[in-house]
Amino acid sequence: MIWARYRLSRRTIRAIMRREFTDVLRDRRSLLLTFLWPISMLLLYGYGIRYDINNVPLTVLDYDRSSHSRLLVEQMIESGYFQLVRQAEHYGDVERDLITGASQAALVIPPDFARRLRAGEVVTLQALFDGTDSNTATIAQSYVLAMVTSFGARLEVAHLERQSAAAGISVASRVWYNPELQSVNFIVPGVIAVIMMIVGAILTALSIVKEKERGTIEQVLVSPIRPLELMIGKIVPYVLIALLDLTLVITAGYFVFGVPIKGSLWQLAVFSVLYLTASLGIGVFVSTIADTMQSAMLAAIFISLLPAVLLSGFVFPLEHMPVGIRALSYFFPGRYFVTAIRGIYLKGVGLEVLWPEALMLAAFSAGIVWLSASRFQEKLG
Amino acid sequence: MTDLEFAVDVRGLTRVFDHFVAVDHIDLRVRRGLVFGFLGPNGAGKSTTIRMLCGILRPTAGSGTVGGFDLWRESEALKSRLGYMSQKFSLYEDLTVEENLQFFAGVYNVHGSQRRRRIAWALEMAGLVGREHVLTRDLAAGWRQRLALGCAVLHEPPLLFLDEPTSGVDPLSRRRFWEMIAELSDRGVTVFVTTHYMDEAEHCDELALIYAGKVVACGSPAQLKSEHVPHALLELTPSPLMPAYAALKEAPGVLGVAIFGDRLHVTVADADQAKQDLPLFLGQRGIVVSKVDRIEPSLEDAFVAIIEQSGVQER
Ligand SMILES: Nc1ncnc2c1ncn2[C@@H]1O[C@H](COP(=O)(O)OP(=O)(O)O)[C@@H](O)[C@H]1O
Ligand SMILES: [Mg+2]
Repeated sequence: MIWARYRLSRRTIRAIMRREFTDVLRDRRSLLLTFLWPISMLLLYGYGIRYDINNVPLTVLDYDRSSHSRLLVEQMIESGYFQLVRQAEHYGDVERDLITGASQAALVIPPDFARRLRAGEVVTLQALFDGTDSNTATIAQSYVLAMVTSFGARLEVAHLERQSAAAGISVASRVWYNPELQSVNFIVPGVIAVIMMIVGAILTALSIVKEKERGTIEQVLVSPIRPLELMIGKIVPYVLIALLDLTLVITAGYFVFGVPIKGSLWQLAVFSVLYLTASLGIGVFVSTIADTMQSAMLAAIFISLLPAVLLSGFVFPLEHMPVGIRALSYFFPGRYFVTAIRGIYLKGVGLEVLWPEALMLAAFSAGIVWLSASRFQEKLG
Repeated sequence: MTDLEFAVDVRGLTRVFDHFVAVDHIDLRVRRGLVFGFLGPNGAGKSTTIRMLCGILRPTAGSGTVGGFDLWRESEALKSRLGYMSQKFSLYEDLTVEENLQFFAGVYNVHGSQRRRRIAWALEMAGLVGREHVLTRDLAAGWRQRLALGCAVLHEPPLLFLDEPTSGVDPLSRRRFWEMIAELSDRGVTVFVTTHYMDEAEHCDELALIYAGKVVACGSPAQLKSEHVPHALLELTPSPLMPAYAALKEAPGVLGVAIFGDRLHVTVADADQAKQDLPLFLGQRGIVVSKVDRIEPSLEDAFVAIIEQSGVQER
């Protein structure tokens, strides 16, 4: 790379940046994409995806057979979310129902349920879910949890993978955060991941390819501008826009949907910047492989947006994806970011837990930035 | 580059696009301070050549200097010394006139009082004073081209490359544009301009003709005409045209025939003799000739002759 040999010109970079801002502000479409989109997306997902379920087939194994346990089961059925398949006699029935698909959820009430509740002790119930339909399982789980906690009991959760029944039953325990059952809590971090991809990757790629298509890039490249000056000038405006969008979504999430950030704001910022760097890298990379805005849009959607939506855990929980697809998700930054940002947002954890995600994001960003910068340089040189 | 004799001096310049030889081992020498015309039909390789000379397209082969800088090793240093106007209109259409000028001043690092002076000068030269705040999109083609030229010379480059700067522009604007070129040339700027308009080529001090990727002739317009059209030229207006064209090809004393609109340009060995003979010759074949004149060969005649003589095949 020959950059190091040259001093960068602030004037040149400023000229590129100013033009880029003018372009975004004068073009109604890019204005919509940058400012109206994040908000409408938040509203759409926040109000739109209700994640409602009803009549999930439920098997109950009630070892207690007390009035308390009967009341719990009654409440669950009355809620309309569950439909009682059977009152099992043995644990074996519970497993068989889940494996054959007769039921999708099962609740095991321990023998001392009523006694311990009365004594004010902590009781742990066991809930099992058919993990095949992960969405339903996830939602059903949250409902069971809500009802059990309303009784003052604790829940231990297991997921059964029906596919793996032949090899015995694999039991995956997981803990459930999001006690308010507000799916919007999960949406806000996901929206952030998607918005940053749109601004970072798609807008950046489009803005560079637009210049290729219109021929303006040639007029710029014939000047003594350095590739790095051009890249900085092109990218910084989108960094600022993305950060503005980030603030917008966080603020709207808080004020409109009442989603607070439990963890530290600066850690959120660190992860966002890492992820944004990756998005911008993808954007520049796309601009080096596409020659028309149409192909750039297509490539950007496939490389950045779809993985951010589908392979990040935003819409479909990663734990329940087929192994092949889950393996694929490791190659995109979305999963690390969504995991991290949910951790910070909802659990209030930080780098002490999320350092693997931070490392992976940093590695991915460094890799894609290196790749796209060298391709950019090569294309221009 | 004041003590430089040739602003462009390249040998064997070649560009291949996936097996297609767009520019085929051309040698070019452009004397400093001249208006150098690079003439050729569409697809001949003009833009490809100019883009290689400007350092935005890597040659497949070739060597030499542009503006005194080595084509391969010093293309970065060259960039601050040249101005370029690409064939495609390439200013930002959603910026105003002034914003475009400010943008390119920024990119070329022209600043302070220099920037104000140069922008004022460019506005003046392009006749855009009073239109500073018009969106470039809304300018007529002629104004746009002049603005593009203004943007290309904000940094006062001693060497200017213009790629078909007047394509799609009305005749009056074309004339004004060539006045601007002449003005820049008077200030000592070397201008390398491509065109496929013969009348524009006449304005150039020197010309190179490119055909199918090869330079087939070089010289001043007068030289090209006298060297490559050594015979006399008659212009006939026959009716009907095509039979006359076919017949004349076989006529005695005729060396060449070319169609120019509804007329024929006939190259003959002896003008006076042919002026009498040809109408008779055609008359015997039922073709009426309303007008016969001896004419000075045009550049177009020279170009036709040169291509015929060169033996380069159309592609
Ligand atoms: N990037 C490219 N890839 C492939 N072929 C090209 C490319 N650029 C130009 N050509 C071809 O090279 C030939 C010369 O093109 P060009 O230099 O633009 O001609 P001119 O400017 O004289 O009209 C044309 O046949 C054109 O199709
Ligand atoms: Mg051309």
